[in-house]
Parts: sequence; C-alpha cells; structure tokens
Amino acid sequence: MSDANDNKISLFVSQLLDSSVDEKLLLELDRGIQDDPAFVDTYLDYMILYMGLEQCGSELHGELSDGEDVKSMMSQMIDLDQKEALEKKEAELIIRQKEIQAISQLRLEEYLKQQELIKNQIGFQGQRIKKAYSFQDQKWLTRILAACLVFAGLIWLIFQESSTVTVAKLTNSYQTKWAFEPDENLHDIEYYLLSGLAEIEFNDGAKIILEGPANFKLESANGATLNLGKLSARVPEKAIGFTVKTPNASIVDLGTEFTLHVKKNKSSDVYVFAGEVEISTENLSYRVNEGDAKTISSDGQSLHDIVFDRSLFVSNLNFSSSGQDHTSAYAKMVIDGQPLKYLSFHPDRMDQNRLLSDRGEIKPIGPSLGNNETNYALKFKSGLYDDSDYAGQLEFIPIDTLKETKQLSIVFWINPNLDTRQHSLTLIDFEHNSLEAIVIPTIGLTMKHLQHENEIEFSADFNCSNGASVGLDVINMELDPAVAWYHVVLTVSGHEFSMTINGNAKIRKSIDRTKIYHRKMNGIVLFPEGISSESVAHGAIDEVSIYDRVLSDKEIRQLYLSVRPK
Amino acid sequence: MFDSRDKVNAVFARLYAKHHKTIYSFIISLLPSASDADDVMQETILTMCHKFDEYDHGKNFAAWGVGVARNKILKFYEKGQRRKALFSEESLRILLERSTPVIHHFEERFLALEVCLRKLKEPEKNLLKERFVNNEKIVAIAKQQEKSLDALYKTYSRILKKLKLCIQSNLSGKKATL
Repeated sequence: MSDANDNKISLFVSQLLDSSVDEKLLLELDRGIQDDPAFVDTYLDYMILYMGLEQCGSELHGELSDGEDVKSMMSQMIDLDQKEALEKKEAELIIRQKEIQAISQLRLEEYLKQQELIKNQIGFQGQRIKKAYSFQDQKWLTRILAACLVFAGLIWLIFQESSTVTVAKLTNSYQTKWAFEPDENLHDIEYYLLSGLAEIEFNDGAKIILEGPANFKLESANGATLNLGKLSARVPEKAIGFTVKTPNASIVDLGTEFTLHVKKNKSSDVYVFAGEVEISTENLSYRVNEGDAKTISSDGQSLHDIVFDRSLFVSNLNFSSSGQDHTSAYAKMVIDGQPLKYLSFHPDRMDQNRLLSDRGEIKPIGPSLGNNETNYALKFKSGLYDDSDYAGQLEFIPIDTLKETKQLSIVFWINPNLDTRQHSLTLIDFEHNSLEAIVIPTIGLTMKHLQHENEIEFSADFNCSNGASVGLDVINMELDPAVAWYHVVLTVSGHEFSMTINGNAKIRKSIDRTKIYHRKMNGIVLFPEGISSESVAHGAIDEVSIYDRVLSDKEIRQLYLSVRPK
Repeated sequence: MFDSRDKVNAVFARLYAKHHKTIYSFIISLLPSASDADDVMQETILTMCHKFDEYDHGKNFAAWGVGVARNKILKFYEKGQRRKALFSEESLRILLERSTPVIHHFEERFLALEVCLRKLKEPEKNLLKERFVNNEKIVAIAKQQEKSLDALYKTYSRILKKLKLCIQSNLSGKKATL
C-alpha cells in the first residue's frame, strides 16, 4: 500500500467526520477498492478506527459508564424497582427515551403506544420536564410537580388555542396520529403529526399534504414553518407567495407545486414539480426551476443538487378518484361482495402504493379486466427480501375488522413468472407491530413449475397460532404460455381451509377447530419468501380482495368468469 | 409505575445512546452521504427496536447494530434510493464482504485504540476530544481555531494515520510508538 493512497484514505475518512466528502476523492477511492485488495484493507482499518473513536467519544462523554452490559442493567433496574428511589431513575430514563425518540424522528412506535397521550404532548416540551425532574428526589414531590406540569401544559394548550385565529382547514387525512388531535379548523399554532398523511388547505388557497412524523406551525393564511418532516404543496395562482420556512431557510412559491423534506439534522430537500420556487437563507437566495431538486445544508450556508424523485412524496390524497379499475366488471363484482379490503394497485392510490412500495413496483402489467383500460399490478421486486423489515409494519396493511372474523376469503390474480424453483408468498399475517411472535397465523401460497409435466403446481398452507399447520394438497394447472395470470381464492372457515384456482379447480381440507384462532389475523402482508433470492416469488399480484366470510363456489366462479385473462 | 416493556425500552435506549455513533460511523463509511446515511440509520434503529427481543444479550450491541445496518445498506443500494454519488455497487459489495471479519475483531482493535490514544500528544488529543467527545464539527473547530478547513482535515488525517499504525503495531505484538 503506497503512502499516497494511505494519505488519500485518511483524508477521506477525516472528511467523513464532517459528513462532507470530496466527490473526486470518492471516485478515486472507488477505483482503488475495486483494483487493489490492499487498498480495501487500509480503508477498513480506517473505518474501524473511526468507529472506535466514536465509541471512545461516547464513553468519555459519560453517556454510560464502562463495562455496563445488558444483563447488569436489567438486574439493576429490577432491583431498583422495589425502591422508592426508582421514581427518580424512571423519570431520567423516560427523558432518555424521549431523546432517543427525537433521534429517530418519533418513529419508535413502541414508545408511543406505551406512553400516555398527554405525556407525549408534554414530552415535546421535554426540557421543562427534564429540569423539573432533575431537582426532585422525593416521590410525592415528583408526582405533584409532574401533575402540575401536565395541568400547566393543558392550560397552555387551551390558552394557545383560544388566542389564535383560524388560518387553514384539515381537508383530508389518512391513518393519522396526532400528538394533539386537531378539529377541522386549524389555527396559527404548532402541530405534531406523529404518523399518517394529512391534507391542509390554507385560507388563501394553498394546499399541502403533510407526512408524519412532522412538526409544523401554521404561521398565517398563506404560510407555515416546517421544523421536521415531509410536506407537499400545490399552490394556485391566487396564493402565489405562499411561504414555508424551515429551520434555516424560506421557500417562497412563485406559482408552483413543490415538496420539502426537513430532516432531523435541519438540512432540507426541495423538489420542484411545476413552476419555480425561491429559496432564501441568511446568506443566499436561489431560484429552483421545474424538474430540479436541491438540498439546503443544515447550516443554511450551501445548496447542492440532488436526484429528482417524485416517488419520495405523497402528492395526492384523493383515494377515490381515478379508479379506472373500479369500473371493470370484475371490480364491480368485488365491491358488490363488500370486501373488507380491496387492493387494485393503481399509482394514484397512495394508501396502497406507499404501504406496499417495498414489495415492488406498481406497473401497468395487470390482467385485462374486460374494460379496455390499462390495469396496474404489483410487480414483486427480485432478490431476497430483508426479513428484518418483515418485523416492521411499513408494508403491513391493517384490517381492523379482520380480527373479529371467524371466516375469511382472500382472492387475487397472480402471475407466477416461474422458473424451475419453488416460489412462496405469505398473504395474510398476524399483526406484527409489537415485539411478539410475528409470523403466525399466516396464510401462504407456494407455486412450482413442473417442467416434465408442463404444469404449475399450486399449494397453500394455513399456519395456526400454536404452530400447527394445515397444508392443502396441490392443484396442478396445465401451463399455457398464453395465460400469464391465475385467479386464486383461499378460504378459511371454522372447519375448513380451501383453495380454488381459475374458478373451478378446488381443493379443501378440514381444520381442527381447537388449533385455530388462538390469535387473530389483522391484515395483509404480501411478503414474498424464499430461502434464496432465486426462490422468492418474483412474479406479480393484482386485485387482492379480503372478505370476512367464505365465498360460495358460485361467487368464485362468477368472479373468474367476469374476466377473460389475456 | 412502569411495566417490564418500559424497562426493556429503557435498556434499549441506554444501549442505543452508547453505541449509535459507532453504528452511524459504520454506515457513513460505506454510504458517505449524510442524508442517505441518516435514512439508513433511521431504518436501522427502527428494526433494532422491533427486534430487540431477539438480541443476544451476551453479544456486543454495536456489533449487532452493525449487522442490522449492513442489511439496510444493501437494501438501500438495491432500491436505488441514493441521492448522491456514492461507492459503486461493486465497491460496496467488496467492502461489505471484507468488513465482516474485521468487525468481528472490533473489540480487540478498540482496546488497542485505547492504548494508542494515550500515546498521542496533548494538542492531538484535544483535537480528537473536540470532535469525538464534544461533538464539534471540524468546520466549527476550524473557525474556532482560526485555521483553514483543508489544513484541519489534513491534521485529522495525520492523527488518524498515526493511530492506525499504532493499532497495527499493537495487534501484531510489536512495540507501538507514536
């Protein structure tokens, strides 16, 4: 390894310390890594050194004493639980939790669920609480003080609400969780959208969609401050001049449609979809044109180009519009059957797209639904899925009413796109938004191309909450190259699990009643699975509907016959 | 009073507070863009939080976090979400592949680093303290010390090089000098 190369790498890593790298140097490093194994070793030496210095820094900073491990921490906490002094310790830990919450932009759902709403609200003004707790040792005094703060917080909120003016209206929302639930009229105060999507129309006409977690303040009938989160704005001519402030810049609309993402490090990304906007900071002013995207550095001192990507933002909350699929005979029949959920995968339906965006892409490749319209489907991405994401809930579509049902039908079109391997797909899953077991009960589909017989083999299994499984025998369908899509219906009743392919090929099996419904199913997951990237389902799925009843054979046949797949 | 879940969360929070910078430095070394690294860090912490029950308490928390981050980085590249020029996919693949055994010896290197840090000169220690203990940006330190940013990057670069050589000597059993 030459000294010159070593110097380059050490210089690069020192720039990394400021998260500000020289792109020319990066390119040189990239080449070096590919050409020279010694170069790689040196880079890794520096990387580990950097990690070690951060670790030393944290320990010296006094965030934790040396040598503390998880077990000792746990036992320490359990011991403390029996002492009154725990009150103080817990208060400190809660504050620490709040700090971590802030770091992860309020996305640690686990915390939010466990803390009372009002604690969350006051938690945002955490410094006050922190100060109060840190001076109190006595249990009763701490409690009184905390109660006073809660009361003061409420009074503050009420006072704030009553002394403000209405500047905007909440016009639409999707799965929103607020720190403080607003009514339709929005005032010139600060709001905390913990999750979900909220559409707001300002009195002067500008419309924004906020994507939680977001912290924002409505400033006037034509302006707001976004401290954290994503915002998408559509500004009609009458509202030109609509202004959004960030922690270090102002974005002034000049007749346009733009989006803004303010991150926790206070840097912001601005994307202009139509018209133009003016970005002003303390030191600079810059116009960004349609199709351009810029990032404003966290100190507001510089602007850099970034890749323009519309898909990063939600720009439409009108779920019911542009639903050409719903006009098809198939869609009408599905809707008439009153499903709990119907996913037809249209790019404009943001509730479906965003929740399943990780599963693949919405593409115009769906089966023909007999209405001469382009039909979109969810094309699974190739490669092995990260099962750690499966534990998350980003791609999980909850169906609240599903948990109440003892019967279930799941209906969909699938394009297996098979090679010689077996491909699997989990369709329904137990709610996995907690740290509990995440995979049961499930309903899964397995498909295999039997080359010698020129057939596709379909099989399905229903895994019960106690680990017992009901596996169906297989259904073999002759492989017709002209038919890409297969219609699959899976039903579960208290006593039977069944699968029907293309309207009439049906197979069923009894379920031991004692083995099911110990836990309840909560939603759709559509998770392609496999032990290797090649065996993961990599076809496409469309028109997924879920019913809280068992569809009759006649209904299943009619659904299939309403469409003649190409 | 708080239930056991709160306690687990509190433990997680404390471990996270101790190790998040180490995990972040791993991410940004492979994904040298602050905005992209932030996104991956967020995904990593979310998964760690959800899967904390599966974490083997006998193992190093940072090493576990690095493992989670590794998958997140791969996924991030697969998705093509990058906003800036970063390492090519081939380079990332090489780095990830070769980093695994090195990460396993992280503790060993960390101990060597502690020895080497003591051997630095006071001004050098102070510079490291500003960046890693006081969490100052180098750009801010440059302003404060009225030095050019480039000059300070080079100074840090020299200190890093010294430490790297010292650690290597230490690990190979030679007497380390600085």
